[in-house]
Parts: sequence; structure tokens; C-alpha cells
Amino acid sequence: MMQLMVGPVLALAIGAGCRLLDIPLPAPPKLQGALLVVAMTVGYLLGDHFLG
Amino acid sequence: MSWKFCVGLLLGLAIGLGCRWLGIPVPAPPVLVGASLVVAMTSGYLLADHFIATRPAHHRHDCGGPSGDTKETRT
Repeated sequence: MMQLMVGPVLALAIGAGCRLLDIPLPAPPKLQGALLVVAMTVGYLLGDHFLG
Repeated sequence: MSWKFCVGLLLGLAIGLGCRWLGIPVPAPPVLVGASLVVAMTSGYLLADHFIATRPAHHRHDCGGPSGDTKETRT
């Protein structure tokens, strides 16, 4: 439970730090791109549900 | 939400389904929490971008250029 709370805060800090330090972000820099990553994960999990 | 974004989401779903069906690695975290962390990183990046854009540099004229001279010394 604690890790689920620390994870998003750490991810926000990593994103903000990458922008402030002007270094490449290990994620799409646009929200639509990040949502496409979520869509791929959801598709993978749906396929896992149907096949498994 | 534009139709291109909807098509992109459907394509993302199809890519995820296809990767699981064909047994090849998916180009995204295979766990929903990992994908949420990607969204959180992008949100942090956009928040910092907005923060920087609303605070312009007020002391740019004090900064040196390629020669090291500031605007004050050039004029």
C-alpha cells in the first residue's frame, strides 16, 4: 500500500526533474502518448483475460 | 477528444491484444500500475513545463553571452 503511494509521487518528481533539468523523459512527453501506453497495457491485459 | 486520438487508443488496444495473442513482448508495462506510472511521469513533465512557462527569466540581461560580456557591458 505504501509503495502504491510512493510510486506516483516519485514518478511525478522524475517527470518534473526531467523537464527542469532539460534531460530526456523515459515516457512520452505528451499526455496522449502516455494514454496510448495505457491502452496497450489494457489491450494486453484483455488478451491475457480472454486467452488465459 | 478527436477522432484521431480515438483511433490511436483503438490501435493501442489492438497492439496490446496482438502482442499477447502472438506471445511477443508488449512495448508497454504489462501491469496497469506500471502504465499509470508512465502517465504520472508525463503529468510531472507537463506540470513542470507549465511552471516554467509562467515564470519568464527576469535577469536574462545580467547573463553573459558567448564572449562573457553582459548586456550592461556591451551598451
